[in-house]
Amino acid sequence: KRKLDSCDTRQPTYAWGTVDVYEFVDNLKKQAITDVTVEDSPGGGHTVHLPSEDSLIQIEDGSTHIICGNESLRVQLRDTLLKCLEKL
Amino acid sequence: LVMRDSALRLMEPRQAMKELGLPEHEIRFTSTLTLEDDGQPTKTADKIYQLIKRHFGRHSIQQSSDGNISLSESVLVKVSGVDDDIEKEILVSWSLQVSLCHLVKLNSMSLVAMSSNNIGSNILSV
Repeated sequence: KRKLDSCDTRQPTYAWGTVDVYEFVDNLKKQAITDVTVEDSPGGGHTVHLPSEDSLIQIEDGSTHIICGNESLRVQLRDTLLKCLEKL
Repeated sequence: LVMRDSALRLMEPRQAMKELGLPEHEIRFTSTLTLEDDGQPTKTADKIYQLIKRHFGRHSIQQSSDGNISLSESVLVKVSGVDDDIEKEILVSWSLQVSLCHLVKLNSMSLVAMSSNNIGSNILSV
């Protein structure tokens, strides 16, 4: 049993800057995530699609939305994204 | 801790970023789970709302008229489906700053709930 009050007490991370979508995709490929397509979004951002994982990453100038149901992949996507940003 | 003009100040991270002219990059996550529960989606949303209230009572929890639940203004839970279909989709969305504690709890709740029609009955066995 895992206790409900067993919290991870790490400090939340705040990120700033913009994501270079191609740097992000290159970093994914280095981790053997190669089934990746990139599409331009109407607002000037990009949508990164991982078809085999049924996951999407919507990257805009000031925000990124990771839509992914696989928890371990989601953590990998988060950490890869954070590498492309400055952190506080 | 921010040092500016030889003065040290303690600030909230967002305020510090604003003062230093650093453009925040917001990061959000969304995950969708399937839950078996009879009845209208709003009824399922009410059960989840009660469940969240019981376990996160010290946080700010709100339910809008369309059933969407927000927790600490960072987590959003949305139920969709049709009345005569037992399967309901539970969309959970949260920001990077939500601690892993919240996240694990929310995901566990949803996953545990998936194995039971009676939402919440198994929650303490997470």
